[in-house]
Amino acid sequence: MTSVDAYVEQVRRGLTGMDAGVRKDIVRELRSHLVDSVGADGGNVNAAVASLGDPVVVARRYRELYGYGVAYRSVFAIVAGILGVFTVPVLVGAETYIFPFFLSAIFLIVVATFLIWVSVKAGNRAGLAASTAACIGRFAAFGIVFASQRAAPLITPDGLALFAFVSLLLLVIGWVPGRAKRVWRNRGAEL
Amino acid sequence: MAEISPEWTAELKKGSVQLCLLALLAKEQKYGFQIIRELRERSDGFFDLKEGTLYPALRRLEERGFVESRWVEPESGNPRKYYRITEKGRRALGEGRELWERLTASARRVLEAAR
Repeated sequence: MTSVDAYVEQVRRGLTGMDAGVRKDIVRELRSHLVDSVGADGGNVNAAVASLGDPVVVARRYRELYGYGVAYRSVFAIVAGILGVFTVPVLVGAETYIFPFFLSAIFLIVVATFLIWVSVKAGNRAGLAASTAACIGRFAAFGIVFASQRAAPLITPDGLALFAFVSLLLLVIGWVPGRAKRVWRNRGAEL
Repeated sequence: MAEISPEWTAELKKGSVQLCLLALLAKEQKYGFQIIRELRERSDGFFDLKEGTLYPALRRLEERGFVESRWVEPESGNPRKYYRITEKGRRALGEGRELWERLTASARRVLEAAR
């Protein structure tokens, strides 16, 4: 592996989850640059690579611009949606609680952590998409319970209020961290 | 230039890089390496930025719709990605140029008065 290959590979790895086409195009452009740069510098490959700068920083700049591709954002949303189902404590069977309150609270913490991560890593829009999916998961769980007559008496006004409040909170959690990060970043102004 | 705070000087420089990149594309389409080289030569090395960060900067101009790009693949030799200014980019350049002139003139007056 030449140092050109090693460098390009490091950038490419830093672009994981970006749209495949964009990623390929970036790598191709950097390779093209290195060919020209090495040619202009009398074949000094190491100098050409060094003047591009830290591959991690370069990849981060591209990430700030392009974020994550549709495929990854969909996966984030699907995971959030599935986790969302288990944040509803009313999944009961007959007389016994299949899904007791404390377990749903644990899932709630997990999904909230995940949403913050998505929002920070992939941006506030991806975060909002994921938190919306989580809420859809919650509504689906709720709908199933509501449809089954046996559980209906267990739904109280307080429970409904809590359900609505937590759903809204999740939407905020998905959106705010990414937005805050972006505002914070822009103070330093990108190139 | 000895730097008391590299972040401070980097921030002062940053705002003008995008404008310079756009200006370099005003007359003809160019590829990345060519743009980088011209930026260095014409600024006497003032914009001593890492080359790798100029490519995302070019793409940011593209995302804004100020430039468009296409690959040119010669029969033999290095395929290159060319950037060309758009109509919107031309208007942005005009606006940016005017803003830049007012900014430097205003800043100069403030700096001179405070000398």
